Amino acid sequence: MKHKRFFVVIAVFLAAAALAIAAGTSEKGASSKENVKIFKFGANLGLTGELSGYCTATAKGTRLAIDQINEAGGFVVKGQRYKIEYIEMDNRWDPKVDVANTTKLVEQGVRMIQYVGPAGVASQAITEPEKVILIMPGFPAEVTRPGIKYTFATGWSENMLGKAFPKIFGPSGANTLITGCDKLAILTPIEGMPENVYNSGLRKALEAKGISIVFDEKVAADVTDFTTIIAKIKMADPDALLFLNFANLNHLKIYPQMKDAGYQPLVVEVDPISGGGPQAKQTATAAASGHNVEIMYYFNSRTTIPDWAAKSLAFDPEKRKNYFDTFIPKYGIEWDVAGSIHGFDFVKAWIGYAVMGGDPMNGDAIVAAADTETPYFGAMAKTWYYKDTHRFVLPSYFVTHNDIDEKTGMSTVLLLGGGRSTDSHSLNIPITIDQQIDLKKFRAKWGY
Amino acid sequence: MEGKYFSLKNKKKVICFIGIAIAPLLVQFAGGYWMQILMMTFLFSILAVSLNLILGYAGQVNLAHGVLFGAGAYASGLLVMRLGVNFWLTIPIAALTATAIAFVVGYITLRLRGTYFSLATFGFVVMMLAVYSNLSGLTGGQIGLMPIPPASIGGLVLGPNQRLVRTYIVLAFLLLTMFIIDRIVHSRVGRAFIVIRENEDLAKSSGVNTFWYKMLAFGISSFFAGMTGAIYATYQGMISPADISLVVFFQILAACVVGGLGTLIGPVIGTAFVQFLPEILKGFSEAYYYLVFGILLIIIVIWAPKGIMGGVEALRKRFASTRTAKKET
Amino acid sequence: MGYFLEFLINGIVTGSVYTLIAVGLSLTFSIMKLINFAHGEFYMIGAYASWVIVSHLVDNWWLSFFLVVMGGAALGVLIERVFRPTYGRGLLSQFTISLGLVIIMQDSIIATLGGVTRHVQSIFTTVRQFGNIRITDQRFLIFGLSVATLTALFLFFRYTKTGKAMRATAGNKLAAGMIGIKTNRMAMYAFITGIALAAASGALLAPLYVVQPFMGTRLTGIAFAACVLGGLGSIGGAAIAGFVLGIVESLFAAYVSIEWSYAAIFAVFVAILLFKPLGLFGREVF
Repeated sequence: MKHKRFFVVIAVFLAAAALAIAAGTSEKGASSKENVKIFKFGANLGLTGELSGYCTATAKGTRLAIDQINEAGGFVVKGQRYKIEYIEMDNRWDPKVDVANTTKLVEQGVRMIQYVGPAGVASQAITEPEKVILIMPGFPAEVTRPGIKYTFATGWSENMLGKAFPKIFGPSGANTLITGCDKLAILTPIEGMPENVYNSGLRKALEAKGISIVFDEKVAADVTDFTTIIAKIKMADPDALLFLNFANLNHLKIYPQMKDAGYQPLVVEVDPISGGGPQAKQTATAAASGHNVEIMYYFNSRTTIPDWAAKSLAFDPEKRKNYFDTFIPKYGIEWDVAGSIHGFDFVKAWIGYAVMGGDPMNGDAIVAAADTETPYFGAMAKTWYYKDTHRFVLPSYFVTHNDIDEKTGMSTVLLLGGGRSTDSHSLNIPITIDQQIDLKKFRAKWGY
Repeated sequence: MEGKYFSLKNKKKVICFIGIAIAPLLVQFAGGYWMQILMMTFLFSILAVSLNLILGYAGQVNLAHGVLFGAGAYASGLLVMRLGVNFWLTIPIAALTATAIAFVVGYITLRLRGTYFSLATFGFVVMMLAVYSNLSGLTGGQIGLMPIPPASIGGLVLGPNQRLVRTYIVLAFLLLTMFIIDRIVHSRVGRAFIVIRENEDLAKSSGVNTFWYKMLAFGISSFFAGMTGAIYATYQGMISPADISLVVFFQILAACVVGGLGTLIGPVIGTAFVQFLPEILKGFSEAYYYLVFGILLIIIVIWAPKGIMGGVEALRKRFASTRTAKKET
Repeated sequence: MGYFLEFLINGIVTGSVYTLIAVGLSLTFSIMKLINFAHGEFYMIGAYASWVIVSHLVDNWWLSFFLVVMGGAALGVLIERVFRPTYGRGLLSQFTISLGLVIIMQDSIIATLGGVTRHVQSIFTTVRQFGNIRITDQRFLIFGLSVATLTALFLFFRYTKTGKAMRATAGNKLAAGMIGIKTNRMAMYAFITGIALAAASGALLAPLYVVQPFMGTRLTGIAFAACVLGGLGSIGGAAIAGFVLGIVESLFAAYVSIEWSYAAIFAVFVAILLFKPLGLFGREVF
């Protein structure tokens, strides 16, 4: 037949595809030895792409927690022993791949997914009907809108930062962490989390305190040359710069470039320096020393915690030491990054709720356990889980960077103050101030 | 006319049609993950087939196809989410929105020739992506527009677990698109496109209004891109700039080139290649699969300059000529 | 209006970055008529090579720079081989191959060195002050090198035999071949130079920027815009356009809006094309 060759080609292609599909979907033999059940825990993370540093660190923290639980013999619920099988997938920050990954994980029977990706709402549409617990770092805000039952986030953006940042600034004479602030510049990266924080009413809250916003612009995520932006900020003559920069290491070049420009205002930002690993620290703190105030939910292994903080921030130094003693040898100091503690804490928290709930395979039981408003004590500190908003509200520490170890790239930070929620209903987090920064004095000292 | 469709030449088309039509039922057994890939393959095939009209048939390298797909997605998403418009109604509106934008872009850029045209469309890509990212009050910014409620048909809500129905709906749109484009290609308009592709100056001097024919190609291909955008937005439940990045556009372009420009089924095969091959390679190596995919892409383009369909055609010709030779001895 | 001068100078320095990349692209494009969307990735590879050499092998920036230029040229030879089968096949094949190259280059880096951002310390840290304006030596170096490269290329094309042969190839390949110029070899030289230039730019800019696998994408777009704006086939045009775009971006960011400044570059670029459809100095349709 004239078309034979054509059909042969098509048939071979289809056969190869079918074979590959069959190979890919064949179940690996489930281990059933002695009454131990398998509990599948999945991760759908952007291991390559925009947030690769944060996501890779999250993956390592997740793995550490799961390994620890399994090495201790697994977890036991009502006499039944469970071991955790961890399935990790990379979504390459591509929404199509993201959705396909979640589909596959749910299909394979995971009961919980650690998730950082571009298509949260789309992935959620797959996990909610199956009552699979979806754990996210907290953006977009829509993922915990009313009606969502099985998705949980950290209240990092609008709950925490949106509320905390206005608290720490105040005009001259105010009893705030940063005082003497009459004019403020705000620089917002065009990215999920920063925009979330900005949109949480940040500007209004600041203006309500009598602070005038003299510069308010957005900068693209891939910008690494800040010279024009720095000059423009200088032109606006602010007392300080609030830079809503998360985990985006491209933007840390602003510090050395500010130093080169001879213009070093106080920069208040989120935790990319501490959260970015030694490379980030080398980039930023060589120029940053004392020129920034960073808000973070995590202390790296090098920072010593003063006694007052341990008490008022519900901090446990012993637990913290245990965490670093296991994490650093296993993964290296390079990954001692904010995401790692996120990954670690959330595995421990949710397995904890699974145990409390009485039936780990039942999403409703797990959610009911979480809804009892039990505070969670993670690797370092106590956090609260808010039933109404389905979010964990993390503690906030305000630090300034002091010095950098040129070899390891690790910085030492000075803790200026901090705050944590004291109950499960109030988002009005009180800030304890240990050291105040007076911007008038700061300006005089650094000549801007 | 009727006899023509069932003649020997079209038997191939019919068998392909049947093969594609039962594919969802077969893939269903492989699981939701592969159904998702298949559905996205069909959806992106519509984009590839429509891009092929201006790319393969009219010979104009339009880089803005992806953002016009995005325009349709945002248009539909906004209408459904903010104004509660019925999804099915937003499909033609999204398609026409993309067409309208295409006419504006085309009016400005089609007066340029060759690479100048392509780079000018790239300029619009950057500008439109900036609009999607920066007008966050309207579009949700970098986070995107969400949640877009799912469509329903009859009483059935087309959520993510209605995989079979959703795939067949997309397939229906694909076949409709292919049918319309096939008709266009075999019409006077299509012949004008090909003449423009082969030698634009000659076409112009022969009296063909090349500018308006190019506008027509641009408009029609963008119409289907916008239509697809509406479906995509509703299926994903959200739309963000990450969905319409240049990477996505390159996947569509690669699909056209690999499948075979200037053929009807080429872009579909090319899309299957671009969407399925990385997944198949993933089974072999989690770390290097995308790298291998890049290498294979280059190899295919070098060895099969006319794409897979071109290679198939060449094989057929060789087989046919051997057969004729045999007959003579 | 002391700030205006500062913004203008920033624009010129940024423009010199764009010019370096655009000229490299223009060399490959004008003479070989080859669309290489992976051009920005060579810049990225150059930056990574510089980082690897400086942090793991030899702690001498000048040596690493030299090695990167040589390595870039060698890579150029290899890549030219990849593109060779597609000459005369039309832009789309080359475009798709270059997309494949983008994937390969980005993923090789991610697979071997990881996707996390890296940092290269600048050794030219002296800051020179002119009134209110402060410029580091690193930026001077970049500006100086871009001017030096342009001058060298100008002299090369005008006064050397090979240079004139390359210009002839760019102007009319057929005619050049007929008078005995080894056009394929000329094209290869141009390509290798272009790639080496991209890699060198990467090494030069690594201390200024951040080294990560996707750093090339933004610059590829601007490089293409500069080439087209300057006029395809005109290397000098690409150079001038690089500066124009840098200044436009800086002034727009300064006086209008930072977030729209990248799009503004392209808006200006399209607007200019409307009046000059072949770019500022272009001669023919590509």
